[in-house]
Amino acid sequence: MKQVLTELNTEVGVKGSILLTEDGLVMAAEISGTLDHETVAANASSTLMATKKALRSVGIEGFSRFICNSRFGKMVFVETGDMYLVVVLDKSINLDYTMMTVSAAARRIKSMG
Amino acid sequence: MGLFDSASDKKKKELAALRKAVEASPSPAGFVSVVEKYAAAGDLIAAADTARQAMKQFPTAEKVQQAYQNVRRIELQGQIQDLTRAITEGRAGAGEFDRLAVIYSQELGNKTKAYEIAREGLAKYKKAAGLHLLCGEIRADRYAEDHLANDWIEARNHLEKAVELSPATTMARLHLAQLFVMVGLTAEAKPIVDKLAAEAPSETVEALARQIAAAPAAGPVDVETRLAELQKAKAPGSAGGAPGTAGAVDKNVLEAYLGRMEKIDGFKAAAIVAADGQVLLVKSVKPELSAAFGQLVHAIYLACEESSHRMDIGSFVSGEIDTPRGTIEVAEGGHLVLGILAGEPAKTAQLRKATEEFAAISRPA
Repeated sequence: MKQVLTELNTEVGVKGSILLTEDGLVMAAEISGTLDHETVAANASSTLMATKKALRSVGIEGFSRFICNSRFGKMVFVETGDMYLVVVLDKSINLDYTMMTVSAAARRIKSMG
Repeated sequence: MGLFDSASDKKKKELAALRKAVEASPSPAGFVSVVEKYAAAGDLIAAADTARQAMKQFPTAEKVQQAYQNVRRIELQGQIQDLTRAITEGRAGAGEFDRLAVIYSQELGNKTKAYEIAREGLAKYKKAAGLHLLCGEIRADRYAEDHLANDWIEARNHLEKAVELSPATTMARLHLAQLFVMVGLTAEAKPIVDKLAAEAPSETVEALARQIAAAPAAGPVDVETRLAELQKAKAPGSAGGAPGTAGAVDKNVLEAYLGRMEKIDGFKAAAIVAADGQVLLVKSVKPELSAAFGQLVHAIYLACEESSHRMDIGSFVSGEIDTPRGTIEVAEGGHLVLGILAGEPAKTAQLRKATEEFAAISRPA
């Protein structure tokens, strides 16, 4: 799985990727030098948990994809079975193209079980 | 030969006519289309020229920014490759980091990438005044756009370091003075501007001096308190208007907007909330979902906003969540936050367009 993250990080605009369990625990992480590993992991986890909790409040169980756009960067969550692939992206990317790569990585992780 | 010339001329004429048509009725998509066609035809000069024109008219349109960056990247490919190779092979000095960061910042308009390169350079060359200056400029630009205290503090730290390392550099001192003035710290800016006026007078320095002279006299200011106040004042839901209202935005306009959203096939719920969680307007096909949906929108906004700040990627702009019940679009619009839930047959593009419309109507004039 780490290999999938490493390969994903070579894509243009990808700054780091993490695998989180449904409970927000970090299973694997590959973060580039300029980002703080612990900060990214902690915030990806808290965003995942808060979003799932909020959805549950209206009777929605989980989500398959969440794209969060901020002014100077993006964070993407993709469900991979019993885990979530979280990818931190540069602001200036072709999102449609990058999402194809992210989805392919998520499918590879899912197939690993 | 003649045949090729005439085909090429015909293509050129077609593209010129297309460009004229876009200039007569300008839109980001129209300009991007012309830029791409020129680039595909190999006319990079015309592509770059059109892209520059588009950037002047639509500087904040993401697709225009991307098209401009793509064209310039092709033009600057050689330089970028040489500098990147020098960095990855570990033989780059501070100057190489500085040149590559400046290309990204000034030529390609990609300040995020420029900042990363400059930070990478600073990790190796801590005393590179030019890299500190560039980081300071970029963080100051971010502060002007997003009003987050952390950007201001980072900008000040980098600019002060640039001044310390290279006291004669006018630009670093000027930016530092502008940064102080931006948040009303005129007492801190004044000695810097006075010195600049004596050593390197310019129209910019004179304008800054006039701005300081016109500012009301103020007692000592606690910087952190001031920054926190300004950050809060720019937060959605808090800039104008009494609690429970839509702030500076006409509530009738928002109601009409939600009315239009209700007509989207597959519409399930929509809510407009303030930053403090107050649900201002809500529409739902299931009345029992109304209150809970407003709270859901606020919870998602809050989670994203806090994470974005802590991860140093600016304020939350928008979010898109694919759920078993449909897609939820959440968008921040100046003072307010919108959330829409819609299932099949609503299209994601339709919802994205709806959030763009919200961002446009909810920004104060």
